[in-house]
Amino acid sequence: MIVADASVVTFLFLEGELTGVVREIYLLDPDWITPPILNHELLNIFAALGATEGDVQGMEELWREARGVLGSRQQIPDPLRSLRLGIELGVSGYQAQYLALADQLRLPLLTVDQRILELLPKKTSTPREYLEVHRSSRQE
Amino acid sequence: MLICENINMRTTLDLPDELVTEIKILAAQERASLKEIMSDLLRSGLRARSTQSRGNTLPRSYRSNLPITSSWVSQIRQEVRG
Repeated sequence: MIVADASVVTFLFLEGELTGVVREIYLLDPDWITPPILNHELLNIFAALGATEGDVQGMEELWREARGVLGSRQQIPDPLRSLRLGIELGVSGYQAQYLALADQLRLPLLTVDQRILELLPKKTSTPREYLEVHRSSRQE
Repeated sequence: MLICENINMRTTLDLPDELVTEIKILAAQERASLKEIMSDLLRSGLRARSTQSRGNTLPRSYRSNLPITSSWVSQIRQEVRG
């Protein structure tokens, strides 16, 4: 089971810099848990790309795909926990919700957000780090 | 109790109170109607079951002309937050 933020989930659906690693993680473990705020973030990312590409239909199909894959596994983080983390760490309410969900599920947060990785090195992981650990644990 | 309406069908479901509360919160967060959220959740559930029965399959991905990098994603996320 994995909690991932928009900086990682984006590459599950858009081909780019981290797609290979991110999709390999999904093949190993497709149980990705995300907070509903991810929907807003993905919508913004798809809208920005759709505007650049001029491809409304492609983005609509991608949106449905993302909702179909992740929608049933979404969980609402405790808003007070999110609030506390936002205040204590000085991070946005957006990012605090991913951290709160990972915290309440006792799972690491997969992210490439450098600030979050530096603030909480023991509670976060990049996709590459996660994959290396997962691969080595499977070999043992 | 939750009533779901559709152009073709109207039905009544007896659901646990805490589940209804969770669905209402989700609907408010997404600024969607109960009908939209319920339909979305049911479709997702059906797709998830279908995926489970087929094993781990990768979602469809989109190849754009724009190089999708972490920096680009980060920029969009920052712009939205203001």
